Amino acid sequence: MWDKKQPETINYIIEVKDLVYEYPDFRALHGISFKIQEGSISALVGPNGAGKTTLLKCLAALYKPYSGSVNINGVDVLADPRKGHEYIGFQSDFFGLYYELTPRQALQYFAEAYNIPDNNIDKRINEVLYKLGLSNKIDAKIMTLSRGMRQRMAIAQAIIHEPKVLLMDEPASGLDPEKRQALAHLFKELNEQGMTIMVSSHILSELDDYANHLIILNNGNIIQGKERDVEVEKDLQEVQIRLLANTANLEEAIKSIPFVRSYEIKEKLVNLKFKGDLNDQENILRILVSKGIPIHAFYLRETNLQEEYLELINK
Amino acid sequence: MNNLFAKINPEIKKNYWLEMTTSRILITLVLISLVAGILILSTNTKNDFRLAQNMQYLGMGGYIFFILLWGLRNASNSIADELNNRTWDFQRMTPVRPSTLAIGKLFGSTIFNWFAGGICFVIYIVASLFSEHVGINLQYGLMMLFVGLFGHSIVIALSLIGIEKFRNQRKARTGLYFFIGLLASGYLAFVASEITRSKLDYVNWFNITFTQNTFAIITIVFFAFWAVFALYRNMRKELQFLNGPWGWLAFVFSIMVFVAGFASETKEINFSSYWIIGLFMAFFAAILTTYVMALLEPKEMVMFRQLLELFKKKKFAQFFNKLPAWLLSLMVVLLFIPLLVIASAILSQTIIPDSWERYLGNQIGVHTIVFPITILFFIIRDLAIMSIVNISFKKGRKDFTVMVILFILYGVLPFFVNKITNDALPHMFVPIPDETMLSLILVTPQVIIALILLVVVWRNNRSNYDQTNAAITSA
Repeated sequence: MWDKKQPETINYIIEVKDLVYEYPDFRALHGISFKIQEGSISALVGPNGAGKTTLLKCLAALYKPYSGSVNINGVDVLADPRKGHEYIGFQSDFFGLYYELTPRQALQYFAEAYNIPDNNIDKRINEVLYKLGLSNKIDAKIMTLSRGMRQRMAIAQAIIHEPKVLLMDEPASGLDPEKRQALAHLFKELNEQGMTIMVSSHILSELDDYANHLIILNNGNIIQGKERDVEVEKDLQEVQIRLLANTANLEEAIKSIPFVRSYEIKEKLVNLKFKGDLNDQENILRILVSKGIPIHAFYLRETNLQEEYLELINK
Repeated sequence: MNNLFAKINPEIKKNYWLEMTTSRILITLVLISLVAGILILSTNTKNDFRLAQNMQYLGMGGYIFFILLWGLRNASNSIADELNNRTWDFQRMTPVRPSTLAIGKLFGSTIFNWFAGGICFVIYIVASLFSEHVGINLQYGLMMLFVGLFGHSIVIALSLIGIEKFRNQRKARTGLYFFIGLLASGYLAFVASEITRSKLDYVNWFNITFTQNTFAIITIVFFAFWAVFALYRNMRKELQFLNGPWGWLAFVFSIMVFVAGFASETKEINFSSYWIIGLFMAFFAAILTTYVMALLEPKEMVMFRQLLELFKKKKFAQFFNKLPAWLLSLMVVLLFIPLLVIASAILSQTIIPDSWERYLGNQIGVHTIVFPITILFFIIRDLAIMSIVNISFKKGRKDFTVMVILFILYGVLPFFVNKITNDALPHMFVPIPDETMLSLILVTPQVIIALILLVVVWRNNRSNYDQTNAAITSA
């Protein structure tokens, strides 16, 4: 695979090495390793039982793994989980709320538990509730809030201490499409404010809009972990070309097309990404034909996270 | 209100918001006042102490209801409720100190009970000041205060020990811990009550004479201290601090010393038998802690494998930090055996007082030297059985199954054997110290069988585990 993108100095905020987690009956994580770039939004996807929740709980230093290491913001969270917790916000797959309390009371409790200075607590509660659109519910009992509001309340609890890394387990589960959309906006906002976010989800279409890093987990192993540039990929088009036969000058012909960003060749199949419009698409075809490439079929391919995921899982 | 509570433990504050509703407070005050009013009106005021006595009944009755029954229930649910409501992980993610959370759980989850029980306690103390025996009634009140603290601490500490078992369950249940707490604090409350009612007597502990009341207060405070300490240590562990083995070892040694002190209570004891009985009492106390913790703590395969790996890699500091309390107690038992053997050899021919004859024989001899080893064999057999059940049972009531097996081994079988057969067979089921050493001879094959079974179960489990992982990986 060839990519024109030049490597840059990358700052990794999460580094996981050889992580093994065992339940009494089976091994949930089989020595997985990966790195997450600071300021990214990572999608953690995989079928049920793949080990997503276990992985997130290990990252949050809530589970002690059998072996391996987890480093978050320079802290070995397995050796010093308490220090790690200063930088991590975690929302589990259940909301975990005190339904009899009001958002103000619940957030005050967590603010004090996180040692936020007394004179800053009210300001921080107001900020967080405003950000999550819950300001008008500040003194309503949590049990009276709608499901979407409860979801946001759970996020409020997880970010009251302004963590650098926010880990979320199936945050959109049970939400209707409108609320999922709102949640996606929220993630983007939090991310723009500098928070690195890792989200596990089954609903891949919603992750497509904002996840710029993808980790696919299956049976406790990482099938793939790679960067996705959402903004760039939005502008990129992909064409798939089927050839009658392989030719020696194929790569040379592709590289000669200036607006092609990346390509992949698998026997008589070429996937090619480019930045441009319909005219550029026509140009690609024209250039390849002019270089004597025996094209059998040429069509635009629309790929998204779901397709990528299914393709990899089916492999 | 926020300013007033600014510096209060956040966990207590949260529970104040959750538990202390205005309607609850008012109903409680009205109910207590009503009962007190009825008692005052219905008491014959000609008897000087009658009213005080009735108010004492009200105060102590209310205290027992609010603190020892309802309070114990709330305390035993304090951790389980957080787990069931999925809020426990949120709490564990905060940098809150273990001491803060331990105190918060201890007095927060029972804040309403301490409010209502506290009113009743004040009624009891005030009534006691006007009673016939002011001193002894106040002492009883003090004992009951510490019994309440002991009970609440022990059930929360037990819930924290059992949390590993709940972690991956849909619903955490703490009925067993409530029951244990109720039994333990109920027993202490009963002792306190009996001592208060009986005529003044004395306790001889390490040849130091205490009045019964003083000794009871010291004992209850001693147990309350260790219960609060256990709560703190288990909270530390749950908040992912490393505890190390010393806290548990200190507790085991203190219990051994405490129990050994009662050797001087034995009638017709001489210097040599005092020593040997004291050592055996300490030994039995260490065994008791082994069994209790072996039943309460998780005994999962993963833990055993991690321990083995650490031991093989000679990471002894980590190994000891990860050792469960029952294995630490077992180590104390093992280390104590040479001491018993040496002491028995040195003090051989010592005549044993009648009250200890059934445990140690009529005089110290070779059988006394063999006896601790016989007991050790029984312990190894039982721990092997516990491990077999825990490793081979995927789900279900593992500890309950173990208790049933132990009940059959130590209760049912010896009972029937005693009824139907000769004198030899009981040696098979309980360690009996006599010249024949039959107990050691009869338990040895049992230990061998239990250990072989443990190895088989271990290997099967490992093989199933590998197959499951292979199937998952290839799927």
